[in-house]
Amino acid sequence: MKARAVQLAQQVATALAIALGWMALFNFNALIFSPLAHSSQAHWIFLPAALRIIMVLVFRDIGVIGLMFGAFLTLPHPSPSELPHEIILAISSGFAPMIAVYLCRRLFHIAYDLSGLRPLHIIGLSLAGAVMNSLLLNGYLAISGRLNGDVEQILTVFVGDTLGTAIVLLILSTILSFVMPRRKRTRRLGGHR
Amino acid sequence: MMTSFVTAESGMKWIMGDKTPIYVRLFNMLSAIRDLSPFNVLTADEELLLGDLVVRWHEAPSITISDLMQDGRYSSQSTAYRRLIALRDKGLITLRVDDQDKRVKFVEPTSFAQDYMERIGQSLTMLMRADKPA
Repeated sequence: MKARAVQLAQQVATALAIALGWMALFNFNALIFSPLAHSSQAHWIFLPAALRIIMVLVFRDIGVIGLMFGAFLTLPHPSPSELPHEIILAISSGFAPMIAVYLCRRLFHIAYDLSGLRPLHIIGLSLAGAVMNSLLLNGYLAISGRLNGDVEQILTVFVGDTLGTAIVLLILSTILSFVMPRRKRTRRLGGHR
Repeated sequence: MMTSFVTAESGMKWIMGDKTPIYVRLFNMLSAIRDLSPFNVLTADEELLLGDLVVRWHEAPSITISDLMQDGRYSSQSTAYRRLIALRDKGLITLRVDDQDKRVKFVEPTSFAQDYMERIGQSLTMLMRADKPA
């Protein structure tokens, strides 16, 4: 019973940390790239998109919950009547990378422990995440009548997510190439599918 | 029997997780991200092999893969070949198939490797000049 409570507390703390990470990157993005905002839901460069794939791959369901919570916290909350709309937007933010990761895992045969994960897989996952997010977000906006014929927004979300992910991955990979010891691909931890 | 693209069991396993610790997934994830870097630095073993190749290219411009593999300095033929492939992936060497015998492959420097060799040469010249008494 106590062990279960500790595990639950760890999971809640992880989800909160992911949500806070999302908020921090979202606000940083707004600060740096605010001139590139197409609308409140679409930016031509959206750095937090990189977190989606990474968090879902590493933390799975907890990552999805953390992303949804983080996305909800960064929504504008104009009035209580908008709450259902904002909840759906937040859910789509966590759900899109989950679908992308699931499909890519099946397509690229990515192991559960991520052993054998290659740079090409990361690029594929990032693109799939951007496509899924663009489709889910704009699909919902179109169904709910909030897209207002703004077709450019579909492209904006895709380009913003792709560029944002590329920038974050470039920075992260450059840092890692200098600080992380290189191991042979065949000797990575784990190895079972 | 055909296996379906999406099964309920595999889906739940992926979403809810198997018993793999998070740190294993994180490590494998970070390793893959690191390999995306444009600053893909050489490992010590690869640098050693490149140094050996530089000397060999100086002595004879045509080196075959089998020449390298027969060298006892490398722990095994597969190790030597793996390091050669790593150097090729990093754009430092090319493997050219012989026109006469398709089984023979030559190891040749790329312009990037030639630039690397020139820099080593310049550094050595500078060191020798600095060591000379005035």
